[in-house]
Amino acid sequence: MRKRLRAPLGLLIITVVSTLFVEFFFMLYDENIAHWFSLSENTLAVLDAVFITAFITPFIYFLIIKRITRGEADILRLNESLLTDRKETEENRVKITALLASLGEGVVATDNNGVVTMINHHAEKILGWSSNEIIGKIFTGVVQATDENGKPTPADKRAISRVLVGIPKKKDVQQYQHPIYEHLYYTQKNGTQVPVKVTVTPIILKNKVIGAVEIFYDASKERQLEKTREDLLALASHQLRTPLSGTKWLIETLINGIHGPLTPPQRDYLNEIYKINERMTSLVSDMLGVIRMENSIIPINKSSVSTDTIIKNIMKSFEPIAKGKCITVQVEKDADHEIETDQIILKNILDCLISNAVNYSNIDGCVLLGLKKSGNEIVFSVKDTGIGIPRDEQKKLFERFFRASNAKIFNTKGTGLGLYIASLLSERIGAKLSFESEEGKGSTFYVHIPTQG
Amino acid sequence: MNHVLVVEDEDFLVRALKDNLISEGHTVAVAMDGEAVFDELRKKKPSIILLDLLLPKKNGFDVLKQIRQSPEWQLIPVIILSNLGEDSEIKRALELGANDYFVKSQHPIQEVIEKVREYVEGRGSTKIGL
Repeated sequence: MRKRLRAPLGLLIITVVSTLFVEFFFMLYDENIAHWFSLSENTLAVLDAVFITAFITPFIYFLIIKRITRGEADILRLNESLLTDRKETEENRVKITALLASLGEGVVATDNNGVVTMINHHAEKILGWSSNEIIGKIFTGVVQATDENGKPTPADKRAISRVLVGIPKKKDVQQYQHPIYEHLYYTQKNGTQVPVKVTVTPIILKNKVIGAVEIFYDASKERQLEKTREDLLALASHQLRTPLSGTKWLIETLINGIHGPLTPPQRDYLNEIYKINERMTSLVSDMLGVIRMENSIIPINKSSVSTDTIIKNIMKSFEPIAKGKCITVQVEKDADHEIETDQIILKNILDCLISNAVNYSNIDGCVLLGLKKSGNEIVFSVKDTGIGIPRDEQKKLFERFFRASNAKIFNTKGTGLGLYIASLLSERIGAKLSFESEEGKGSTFYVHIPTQG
Repeated sequence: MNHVLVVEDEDFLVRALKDNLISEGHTVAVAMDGEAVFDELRKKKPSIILLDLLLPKKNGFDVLKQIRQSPEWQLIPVIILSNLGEDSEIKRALELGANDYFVKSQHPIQEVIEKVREYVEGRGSTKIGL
């Protein structure tokens, strides 16, 4: 505003000052001038006006010219800036196009309705659809997805649809901006299924989802490697277990007296060998479990399951074992809850915790399986009246092959892998393990399972 | 007296199974590979088959499939005794018509013998022994 007023104001000041100056001069000397040059009053007035004009004109001219020149310079600068911007935009566009083309992953961008706005060359190659065929169409409509068993994945369940739903009111935008991952099979244009690993990120502008970017890659080779690794592991597992099962059955045959009665020392020796064999079997089984876990070979199949069903299954397998040791296993729950989890993996985790509770409790001990909802999580607890864990050893409890000093004395059969496997399994299903323990009094282990929302 | 067909390629496991089954009063035939199974089946129809999965010449899954497709042998109870313990393998065997599945290293031989007794006495019901 001030800048705009500066020119007319300057003009006004120059006009007023110049007029005053000329008028003042004529006021002082008009009689002398009229006398010296024998001028009439009218001529003097004209002369006055001419003087004023002559005096003001250069200033006005200077001002106007300067302004025009400056304006021109501004226009030139603006033009230059626009050209630079356009060049930069063009350069950036070319760079992004080159970057997308050079990526080893497929990239697809959509608007907020899931309509494809951009697709890179690699995505075209993986999907078999050209950009002309896919741009302007809804991505999930053109590219169908299935799970590993060939079951179609509904469009609204796919990551790209989930991020486009919008930001839930209570959710933090930054938190929502995190990418979502999924593994599925895309159906190529020719109908072939290709395994893909997908990452989808929402594009958020002023707290609104205006689109999404999906990055994916062909995981065929990875799947093939996984398959080979699984086969090798299955074979290794079989080859290690076969001699162990042979030893076990031969010892059992001898102990059962099929080939005649045994002397007490012979029976003792065989019992010891049997225990060693059982320990070796557990170790092999646990180590193979660890390899599977660490290589993420165990697939996750989450579904909605009632906590009552989980508890019922666990109790069924543990009651006879606990009875054998005169240990009571009780259940204490606040209600039946519906949870979204992999029930086999959750059962494995709880099996491990209850098995430890039973194995490290004295005869006539008590194991309490608890369940309650706490905030945004369902918490299973396994409480025992067993030997507890020494305070200074508690930090190492979830480490591979770690066994507490009192556990080694109390039960020689453990492998030190059970809790490590349980922690890996928990990680796989998004649960957390925690515990509290006092040596000589017992321990309580907790499995925290986050609930949705 | 019931006749049991043991399909197993490891000598020491055959020996343990054979000794225990005979002491129970059964007669036992042994096939050491997947093709010998059918020779033994032709010789004498067993009351039950104990079948390993990883076998020379023809694997246990294929043997099971062939048994279940044969009108003559399809009703014979088949118990899988294997050290393959993956869920997918157990599922596959049960889908192919196995009556039971035991992971050998995890079960005492007496459990297997008891299961055989249940089947030959007509008390057996399909249950996975894991």
